[in-house]
Amino acid sequence: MSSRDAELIQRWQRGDAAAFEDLVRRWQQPIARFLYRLVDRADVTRDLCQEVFLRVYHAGPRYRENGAFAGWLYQIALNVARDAGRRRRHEPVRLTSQEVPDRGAASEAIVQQEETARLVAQAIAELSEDLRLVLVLRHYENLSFEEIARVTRTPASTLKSRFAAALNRLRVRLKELGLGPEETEE
Amino acid sequence: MSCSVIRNQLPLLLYGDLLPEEKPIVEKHLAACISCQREFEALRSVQQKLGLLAAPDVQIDLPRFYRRAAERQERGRRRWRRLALATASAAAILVGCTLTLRLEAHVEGHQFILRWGGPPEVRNDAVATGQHAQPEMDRTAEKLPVAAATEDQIRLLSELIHALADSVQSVERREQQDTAQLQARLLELQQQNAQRWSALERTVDSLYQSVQKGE
Repeated sequence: MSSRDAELIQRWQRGDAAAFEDLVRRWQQPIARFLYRLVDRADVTRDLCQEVFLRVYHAGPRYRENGAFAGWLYQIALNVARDAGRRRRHEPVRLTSQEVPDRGAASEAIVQQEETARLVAQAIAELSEDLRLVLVLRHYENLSFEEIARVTRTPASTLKSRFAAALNRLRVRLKELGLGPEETEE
Repeated sequence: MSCSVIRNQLPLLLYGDLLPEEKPIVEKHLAACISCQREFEALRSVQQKLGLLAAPDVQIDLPRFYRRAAERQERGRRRWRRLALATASAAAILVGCTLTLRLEAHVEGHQFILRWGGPPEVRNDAVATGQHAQPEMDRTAEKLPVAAATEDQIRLLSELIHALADSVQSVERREQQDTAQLQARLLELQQQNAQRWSALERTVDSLYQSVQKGE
């Protein structure tokens, strides 16, 4: 955890509301990105992100600073994403993992990039939750395996194996979807 | 080391997560093995493609956030009040039963004994075995410790109910303070927003006027 986070938490726990708002501003984008990668739905990401900070707000007075604020925050976000996942089981399954973009004015290169991004999102969405979680935390959130171990309460050695498995599955799946290295190295 | 073992290490090499003692072994193998080099390049390509994904831009609406926090606090307070009421009712029922039935519960010789009413009558067979029935005054004296024990239990229950009521009051006071803080912060934010809005309006007006003068 950065010293800035530590300072903000201390001020917030002493009753400074503005410090909490600074924490929200610092972390809202990483947490939104993390939630979006897990639930794969832009329309619910904002509400889930707000739910994370509501839980943080109510649990804040009980938080004891030990240098693991980021891990604690991601753990709350993970619980929120899992709760949302349980609720979503009753909703109809979508056929695509992202909205089809409006291609009216886009150039061919942009269309190609959007299509690649859509297929990558689809391949990530097809991973099991365990593999997707470690991939998102390591690749997108740049957490170390030790930090991920604290968030997921899983040994770092297991996480390393899962991460290798996730990348290898993505490699195979992207090749099946026509996105192997030879297809894009033209 | 075989290629299959090395290939499991390649994602960790790509992200710089190999242990210092593992890294030279994997790199040495990679330098000599064309097939593993291809695999490594394929993984690097996956890593690059992962970077293509964009995430939605999210800004938390703080006034809305504080309103929801206050609502949640109020819900929690109502739940706590209901729980306290249910516990107090259960305790009151227990006190009532203890008073009316002269309920007595205790553990004696590996047995849980639940007794209500007065102490058991002295059985006649005790007289038959040659023991003399105790005089009436002695029996009254025996009942006294039982009555004192019941009074102790009632006093204890009464203290428990009072402690529970105090606890409910203190939790409510704390929650009310928190809600008041939230509302104050919400008001402050609304005032700040209103000030920003009027400043923006003034800026737009002055810009409009300067444009008109320029024309």
